[in-house]
Amino acid sequence: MTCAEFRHTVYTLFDGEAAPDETRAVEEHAASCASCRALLAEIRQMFAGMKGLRLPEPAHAYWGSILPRIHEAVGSGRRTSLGDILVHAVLPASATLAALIIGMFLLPLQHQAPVDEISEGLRGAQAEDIQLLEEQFSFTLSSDPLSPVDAVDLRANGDRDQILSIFRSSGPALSSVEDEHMRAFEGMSDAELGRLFDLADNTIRQ
Amino acid sequence: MATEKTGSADPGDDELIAMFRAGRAEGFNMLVRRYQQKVYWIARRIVPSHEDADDVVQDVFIRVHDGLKDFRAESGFYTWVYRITVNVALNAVRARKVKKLIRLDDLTDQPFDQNESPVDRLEQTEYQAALRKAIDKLPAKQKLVFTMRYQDELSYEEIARILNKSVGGLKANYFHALKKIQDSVRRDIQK
Repeated sequence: MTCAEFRHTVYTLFDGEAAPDETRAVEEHAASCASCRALLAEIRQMFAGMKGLRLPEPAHAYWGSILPRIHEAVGSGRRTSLGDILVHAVLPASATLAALIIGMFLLPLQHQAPVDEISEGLRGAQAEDIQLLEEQFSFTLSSDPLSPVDAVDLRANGDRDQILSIFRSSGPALSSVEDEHMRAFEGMSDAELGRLFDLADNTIRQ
Repeated sequence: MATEKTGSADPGDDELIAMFRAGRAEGFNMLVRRYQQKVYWIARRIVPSHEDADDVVQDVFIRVHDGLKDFRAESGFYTWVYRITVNVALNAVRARKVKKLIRLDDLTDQPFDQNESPVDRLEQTEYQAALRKAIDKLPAKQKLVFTMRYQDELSYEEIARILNKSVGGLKANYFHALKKIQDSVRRDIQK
């Protein structure tokens, strides 16, 4: 083993990832090379030191306080009515979003009645178009570390900012008309938004 | 990684989820009791205070409560909960609900070995201060991977499932983090 190979491999010893022959090779090299031996000692010291760092424990009574407060929050109905609609949606957020986008893009929007425009678009949407976009959104949702929460939030809160954020990240193909649709979307009331989600859900269930 | 079943007499996560779906709140309650400490500590390593971590814990379990009916068990329950926790905690930081990521200054040290000399103790204190500073300086994503791998002892495969990243990329992230910590400590100690 060379010194470069040693430096490349040495951390894996402390990670439980090194194969037995790698461990043996690292140890043999350290025995014959003073500078690599010093490096190994330094890494050992680092891991030993890290074991000494810890966060303060909360009071024991804290653990018993968590569940009652969750029940209180869940029981207090802090979810919005739109949230209720979305919580009960059967289909995943990606499919709903795909249907919404299809609806938005099939017809030119007039700001006075965006929901009606979109609903007309939804009725005209082809199943394969929805599927295609759904795949795109599924990919977007699954490739972003934050996306699982986005999906949960969409279903639980109907958070407008998060929906917009996903619309905006949905790819260059959608960007040419983005501003117009974003403005229309942002101009919708919660009731309109709720109708739209209902409509999208109904469309993709058909 | 937590086991999906904590003991032979305890119902597994799947069973508890089924209980909850059947309208028995006890299923959810047992899941909360089983995972509340894990969720707390994941959050606590990301956000700077107990109060912030408590907010994250509440938020996570409310989301779990709301999402459990639709949970499709493609990943294990704990993987799902871990992912939600990381996201909620990072969102809290991003949304400036909390002012900063946890600083390692917030950590306490373990008691010193009584056999150590005062000089050893001083060196140990300085060394740990340098370590805290080094870990604190890591970029957020690298710090997260470091925390998940070193402190939570998750396998790379588990981290990959949670963060939707490749195992190879995560390993590189983790080893870069270790190298950065080491270099930073060395520079500090040599000053």
